[in-house]
Amino acid sequence: MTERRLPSAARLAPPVIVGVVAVLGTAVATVVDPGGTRLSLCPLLALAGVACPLCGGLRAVHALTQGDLPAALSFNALLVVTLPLLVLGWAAWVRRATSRSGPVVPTWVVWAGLAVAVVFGVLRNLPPLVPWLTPWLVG
Amino acid sequence: MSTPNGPQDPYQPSGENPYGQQPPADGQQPPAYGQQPPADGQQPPAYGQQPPAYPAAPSYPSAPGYYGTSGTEQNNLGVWSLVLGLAAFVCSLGFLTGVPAIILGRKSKRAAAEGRANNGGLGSAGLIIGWIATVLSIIGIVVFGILVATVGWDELMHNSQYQYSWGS
Repeated sequence: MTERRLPSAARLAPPVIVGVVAVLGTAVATVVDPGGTRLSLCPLLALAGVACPLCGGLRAVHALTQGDLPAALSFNALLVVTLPLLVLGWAAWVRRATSRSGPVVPTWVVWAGLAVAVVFGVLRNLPPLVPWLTPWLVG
Repeated sequence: MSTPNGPQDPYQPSGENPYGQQPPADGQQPPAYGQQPPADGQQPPAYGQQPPAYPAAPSYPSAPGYYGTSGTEQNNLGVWSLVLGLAAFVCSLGFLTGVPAIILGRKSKRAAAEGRANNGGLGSAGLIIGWIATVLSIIGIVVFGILVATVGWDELMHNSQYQYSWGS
């Protein structure tokens, strides 16, 4: 049961599911301010006090939906900068699933993305850079 | 996100069996050509069992050139599984990326068993991390639900008694 024998509807399901989840998440983050509660829901942040590369992502999306780019960048600069790439990658994914043509994201790009995320995660927890990359950890 | 199921696309026509051969089902190697079927359909044969290099596992002996000789065309599965599993665990995404990591991990292990990938270990890692993160996130959701039910949403979210706030 390999994927290449799946009909196109089944091939289209993964990108569609991811897209729907992303849209729903964005909708929720538009209506609800993820930074508006006093409670952080992230166990890593709560238990270790460490910000992972995605920390502030929901708040950044919320800020973007409010048109506040500087706030979005301060919440999660990496996510905001790479958001267009993620959308492009998703579009390429849909295209591959429908027409079976177009570019494929090479494996090294995935590794590079992981490396960039790890570097960003380390940098944003270094004390000199915390005020710039993770301002909510100050103090 | 991107294209976890992209790399097998160039091999799409193989689903139509242009050579009239049945592809192996359920991760089992075809027992023909004197090859040992793998133990439980998950692991590729050991290195010493095959005369050619390990990545060139000839799962499709009828058309080795057509399917490529590298056996790495579906290595993306394992990489994506590991990355999504790590994101699920480290970034507390839980089942959101944990379930995809599990699915891709299973596909990756199957691809490795059928000679379409040589990094089944990455898929196994992603599979395990994905399961751990998924189970932990479900436990967390249950605990959170119990807290909301007993304490109340507003109390939980805004009363400093329960907060640990942003940061530490």
